[in-house]
Amino acid sequence: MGIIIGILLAAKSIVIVTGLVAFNKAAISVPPPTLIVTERDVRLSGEVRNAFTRDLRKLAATGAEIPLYLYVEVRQPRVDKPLRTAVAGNSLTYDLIDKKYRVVGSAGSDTLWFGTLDSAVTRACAFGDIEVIPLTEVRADGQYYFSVYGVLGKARVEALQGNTIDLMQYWDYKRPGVRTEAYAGLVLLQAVTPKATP
Amino acid sequence: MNNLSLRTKTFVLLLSVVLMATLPLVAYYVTTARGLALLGSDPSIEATLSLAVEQGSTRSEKEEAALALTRYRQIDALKSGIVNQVLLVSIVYSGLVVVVALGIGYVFISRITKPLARLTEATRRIGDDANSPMLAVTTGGEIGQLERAFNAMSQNLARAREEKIQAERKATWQRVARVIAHEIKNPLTPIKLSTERMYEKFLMQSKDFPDVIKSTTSTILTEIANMQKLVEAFHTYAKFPEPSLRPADLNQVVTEACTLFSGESTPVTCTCVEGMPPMSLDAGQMREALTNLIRNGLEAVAESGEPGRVTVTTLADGSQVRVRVEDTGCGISPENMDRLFQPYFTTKAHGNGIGLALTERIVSMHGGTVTCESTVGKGTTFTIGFAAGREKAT
Repeated sequence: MGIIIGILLAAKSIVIVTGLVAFNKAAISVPPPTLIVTERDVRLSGEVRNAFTRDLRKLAATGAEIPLYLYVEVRQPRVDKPLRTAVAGNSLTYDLIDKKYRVVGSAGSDTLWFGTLDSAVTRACAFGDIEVIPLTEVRADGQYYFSVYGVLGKARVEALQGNTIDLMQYWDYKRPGVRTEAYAGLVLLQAVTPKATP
Repeated sequence: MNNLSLRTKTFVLLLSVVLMATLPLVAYYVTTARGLALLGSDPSIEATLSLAVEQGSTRSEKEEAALALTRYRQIDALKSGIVNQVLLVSIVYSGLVVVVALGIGYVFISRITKPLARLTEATRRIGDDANSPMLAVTTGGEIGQLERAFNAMSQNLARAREEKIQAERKATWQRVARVIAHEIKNPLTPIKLSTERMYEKFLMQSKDFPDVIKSTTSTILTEIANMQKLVEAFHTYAKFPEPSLRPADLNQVVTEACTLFSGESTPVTCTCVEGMPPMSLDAGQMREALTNLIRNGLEAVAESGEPGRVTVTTLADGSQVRVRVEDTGCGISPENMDRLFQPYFTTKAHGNGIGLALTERIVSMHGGTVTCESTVGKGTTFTIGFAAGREKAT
């Protein structure tokens, strides 16, 4: 009888562990990005949804810096190598002394402070105005599509004597991503949005 | 549990041993994981560290306390992953150990039980099969010795079987020779006496010589006819043809056989079941087989010296079709039951031992069986059985 109970407990543990893993990573996704064509370049705005899983939020609350990146690859049909790659990143940190969340963008944008984790996470997951390709490189007869995916960086963990851990483990080492439809180069060139008046 | 094969029993034993060895390991990991789970979950420590951060008098004191709080919270944040990993690794490792141990165990168990299974099968075949099976000795040790001993036993058995067959063949020939000698000797005596009488009358030039010639010639011809009949019977049994199977109504064959004995003083009654399935029969041969059984019954009734009857019944019982021939005659003694269908075996003064042997042979060639039940002084029942729906003799 003891053996049977042991086997059942072991099986239950597997179910619990795999269930938790599935629960944490189920909804992480990258929605289709927004393209903006300016007079100089093509820009892209996007986000990673549900990037901060329960465990990642817990780690963020310890004060560890959580870097999150959005990779954008400009690709052409039937070409393996991306034409260009752009990366935007945000890092979220909790200041235990000031009890505020700090989000710093990699593009040199201002440091933003938030009182709650949710608002900080919302900002950290959003990436705007990423310059992906100059219009001078867009050929009118070309076809272009954009491959966008999110990546978590590495975090320094004080509890591990300052060693870093790969935060992708919280996403089960899977990159959420999306691929846009192919755009004709001519369409991109003609879709220039006039600069907004300040 | 007693009905389980040796392989299953050994496998269950192995499984129990492996589980007994593995479960404590799993239990140890679970306990360790529980211990890990307690790390970083003490609210009083966290509250103290938070208070230290708030009440630090200088920035450096606050930062020091904040670092401690960070470390404490990180232990709590990372422990679930560590605990899960410990559990997962322990369970996967234990599962692998179980699978590998059982796999290796299964191979070893098979190496032990396969020769035993072959031995069991060969032992079973020794009883069923006339050929004595021999095993290829594939392994050493006790099982190899067992296989060699089995082969030696099988060889001895084959030799003994051959000797028995030779002895039975010799005994059959002796019996045949005795029966033939006896059957030929019987008519030879009247032939000899008749010839001597005829010769004597001839020498004496007796007046009644023509009458003597007439009567002795008649006797000689009768005895020669008897001898011819005897030779014919032996010839019939020895050269009996294969049955020519055709769709036939068994009820009709039985009725025809019974009709042949309608003039007998002992009544022969025939009861046929309705709905007899169609069968492939050699009607002539089957009629002869039934005739032999009915005649046997009539002779048994006559031998008992009391009025009696012979009853022939057909039965169709799902998977079996049967013909039963019952008589209320003298019965057959138990010591003769085993030899009943042996050719040339007879207990009758004027029998040749062919009738029942021929019947058994005909039925056997039709793929059926003949069985006999008898009580001395009460009667005998012969039952011919066929599988229903049989289309072809085996």
